[in-house]
Amino acid sequence: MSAVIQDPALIEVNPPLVAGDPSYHDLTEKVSQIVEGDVLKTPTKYWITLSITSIITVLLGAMLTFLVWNGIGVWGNNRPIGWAWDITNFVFWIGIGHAGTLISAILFLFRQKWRTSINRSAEAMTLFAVMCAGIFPLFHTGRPWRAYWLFPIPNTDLNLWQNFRSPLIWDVFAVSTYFTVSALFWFTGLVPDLATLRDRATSRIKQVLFGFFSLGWRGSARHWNNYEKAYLILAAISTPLVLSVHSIVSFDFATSVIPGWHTTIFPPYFVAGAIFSGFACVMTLLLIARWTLNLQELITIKHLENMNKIILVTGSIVGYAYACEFFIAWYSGDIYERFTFLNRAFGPYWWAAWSMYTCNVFIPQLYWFRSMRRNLWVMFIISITTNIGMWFERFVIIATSLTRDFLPSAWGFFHPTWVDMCTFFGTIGLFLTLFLIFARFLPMIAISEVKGVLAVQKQQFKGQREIVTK
Amino acid sequence: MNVDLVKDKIGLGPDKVYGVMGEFSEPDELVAAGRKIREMGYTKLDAMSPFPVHGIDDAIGVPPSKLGWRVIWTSAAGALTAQILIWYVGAID
Repeated sequence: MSAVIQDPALIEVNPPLVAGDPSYHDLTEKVSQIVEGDVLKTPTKYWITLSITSIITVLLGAMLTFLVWNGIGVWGNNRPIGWAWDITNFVFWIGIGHAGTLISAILFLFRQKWRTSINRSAEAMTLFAVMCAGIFPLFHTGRPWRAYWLFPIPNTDLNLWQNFRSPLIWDVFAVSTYFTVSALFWFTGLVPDLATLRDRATSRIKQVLFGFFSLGWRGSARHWNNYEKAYLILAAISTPLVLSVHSIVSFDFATSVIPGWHTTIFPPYFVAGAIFSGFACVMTLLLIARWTLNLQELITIKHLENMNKIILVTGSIVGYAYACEFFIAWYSGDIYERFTFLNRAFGPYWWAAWSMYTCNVFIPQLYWFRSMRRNLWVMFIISITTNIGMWFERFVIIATSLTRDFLPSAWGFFHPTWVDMCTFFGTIGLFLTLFLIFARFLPMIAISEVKGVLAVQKQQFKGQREIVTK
Repeated sequence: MNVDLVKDKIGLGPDKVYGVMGEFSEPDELVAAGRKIREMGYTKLDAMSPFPVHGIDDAIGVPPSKLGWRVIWTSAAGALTAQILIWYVGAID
């Protein structure tokens, strides 16, 4: 295939999404070689990282066993703070998942081609984040072996149906639907790539495994016809999920009467925050993957810059929501509401509140500058501070409202225990372990989708070159 | 008996043409070829590609996917079942 001469002026204005003008086969090679390499020859840095994260995952297992053995008293939750780190961590992880769904569904419907090289890993991240999220409410029940009581299954030991008027049961359905749809979406997108790996497989076990999961894919026009329809339908189902899942999570708070929780701004505010934290998390993972797996040609600065623009927009929406909350607390004239917000900013948890304002609102404003949006170190640091800030946001919302409620005699203060800390740390280990395994053993970049973009790009360059030569 | 002779008798002889394959390096060439062959009157056509090729369905005559309708009916059935369950759980049992 002849190299297409690209006009430098046009590249400057609209850089190609696939850098270096590779052929279709180069692309397959580039992505597949990560998956197909000899397991024993995986770089040592991979095994070292994986063993560290696995040890942290073992810690999670130990903490959960300890909790089940002793009861949830080993966590710091107590009156008046009945929800603390467990729900903070749940909302934190669920929020992170939202970037994957936004990238795979909403950006797909808006025909944003730059999503193609990041969507696979973002979707995988969604699944792993939802798994981590699910652990907290499951174990907060205290008796996780009774978790089936959360679902409307006729049972003889409880003899009760679920209360469908409770936002907590909506949450069970929102989150389980979210996981199912995300898993289906991710798997549907994987099928053509699994078939590519099946066709290239050299060992019998790989042929059988990839062959089974690629569902007999041959790349026929009839297959693609159904595939594209299925993908469109899944995108259409996932789009409302981006908005609904975190809206329902926010209902857990907003439908209560606790000052600082009982507000109508919660659903949009939570959704913006979720997308904000999720994009930051995708950014952290992609920067590491791009560097360690040499994916600079596929994950270009343009992809990263676009993500940073979304981080700037959603971070500013979150900032607006914070300001709006303070304004409404004052404007409502409700003394409890006013007190809650003054207490939030200047009370015993002032350090948590100001960490959140700094990380979520002030720091991302650097992205107004193009040089900052394109600086790898800046975006790596901001992606981490954003997630620290967003964890604090959930902690501030949950803890500050509960520590100081209506009756001063019922006031308290929350101290996390070592089990709280190790459990949360353990879920980070689980998340990273799953992501590392995924990045090594499954195609991290959607080969067929990037090829589609590449085909369009080749056409465009052909057109541009003709204009230039004229 | 000669194997080729048997094959000839059952219509699998060496001279019989079962199908013709062609390889193209770019999607637009594939679509153009597909369209031309279809215009020549061939109907049993298929196109294999490593990524979805736009216009190929129309070019080789692949009918629109029926998936949309199946999804609508099954999801409507699912939503109805859920509503009936919620109503039964809340109002009857």
